[in-house]
Amino acid sequence: MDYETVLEEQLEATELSELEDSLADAAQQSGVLEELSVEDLVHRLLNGQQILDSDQILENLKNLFLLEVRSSLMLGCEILAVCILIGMLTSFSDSFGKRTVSSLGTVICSCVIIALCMGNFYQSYEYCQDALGTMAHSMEILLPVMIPLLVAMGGISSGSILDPAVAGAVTGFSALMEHIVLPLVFLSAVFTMINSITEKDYVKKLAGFLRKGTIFLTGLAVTVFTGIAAIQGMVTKAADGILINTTKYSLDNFVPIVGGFAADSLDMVISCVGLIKNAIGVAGILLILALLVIPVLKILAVAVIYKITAIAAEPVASKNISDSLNELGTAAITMTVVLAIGALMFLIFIAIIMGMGGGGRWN
Amino acid sequence: MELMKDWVRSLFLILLAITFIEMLLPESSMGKYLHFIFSLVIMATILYPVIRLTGGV
Repeated sequence: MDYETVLEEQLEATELSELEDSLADAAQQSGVLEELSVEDLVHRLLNGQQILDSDQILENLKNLFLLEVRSSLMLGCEILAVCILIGMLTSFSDSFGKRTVSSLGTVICSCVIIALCMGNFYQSYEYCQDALGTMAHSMEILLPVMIPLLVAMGGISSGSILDPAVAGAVTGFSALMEHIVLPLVFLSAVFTMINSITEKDYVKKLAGFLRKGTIFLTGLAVTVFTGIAAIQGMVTKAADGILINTTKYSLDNFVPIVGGFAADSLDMVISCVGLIKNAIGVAGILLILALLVIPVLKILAVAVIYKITAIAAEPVASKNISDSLNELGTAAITMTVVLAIGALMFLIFIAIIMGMGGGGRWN
Repeated sequence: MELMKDWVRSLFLILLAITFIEMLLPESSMGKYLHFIFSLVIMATILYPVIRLTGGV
């Protein structure tokens, strides 16, 4: 039996349509990943060819980042214009008569800046939520494809334990992110902007606490979920290895004539299924990376704009406004960090499933 | 969630209102007392959810 035929057979037997759809979608949206199908990946993995063209991808990423920075430049210019107005009001306050007029003008200008920044930040926040939801959704597509392959390779107990564990972790993690972590980051940004109205710091520490709390929560959640999945995977791996090797040994030695052939072809089928599972795993990793890259670049571009605006406004506007713009940039970077940590967790799950399937000869 | 939204909204409005009032107040000897009272009000608003969540008083 030729391994090519076994591969083709097994590939056709697997339900790949949804995964292929997601891959095509991601490739279209990002423009970074060329059109890759799973069969393509399997053949390339088998022949040891390069999967990705790294130069092209780096070039695309750089262009994308500059494009995003350029499109967010408008907001930065608007904020800077208002800050220059504030600077004028505060510096020329004597010549405007009573002190109250200029400080009133300053407060109103601060409110305008808050409105501008909040509108833009809310867009980034919704975009981040979207990106996380899409990543969780692609994990939910990927798992029902990979786990049955794992079971077909003989990893019966691994599959049956990992399936609820990983699925539960993915759902739980994305629910945690969507309802607690990201809203907290947004809340901290809102408080930072509220703080910029007055000269006295009223809610600055509250905003800082919320932001640091979210990073801590995210790290904790990832550690807990990954730890659970990894430990369960490790425990069941040994059991499955025993199962498969027992089957092969019995086939080989107890069935009289064809036993040897049956055992070897079982071996080959298992290896091919393993290859397909790992190829699908690689496709899943590429998918999640492609889904991660674009939102991260966009939100990072927005963060860079905020920071540059803060730097430019520091000499001109009041200290509080420049500080709060700086904090806003940091909050945007925090959103990026949360997104990246989530993607890392998904990648670890895929890697755990890929590393399973102990079917090789235990010598 | 609704609690959060209401809390943020009221905090923002109170802060804004107090800033305006402090600015528009005429100079008088009571100015510093008023400033202190206003800061107490803001502190109470910030602590409101904490009180609610831990059993209420």
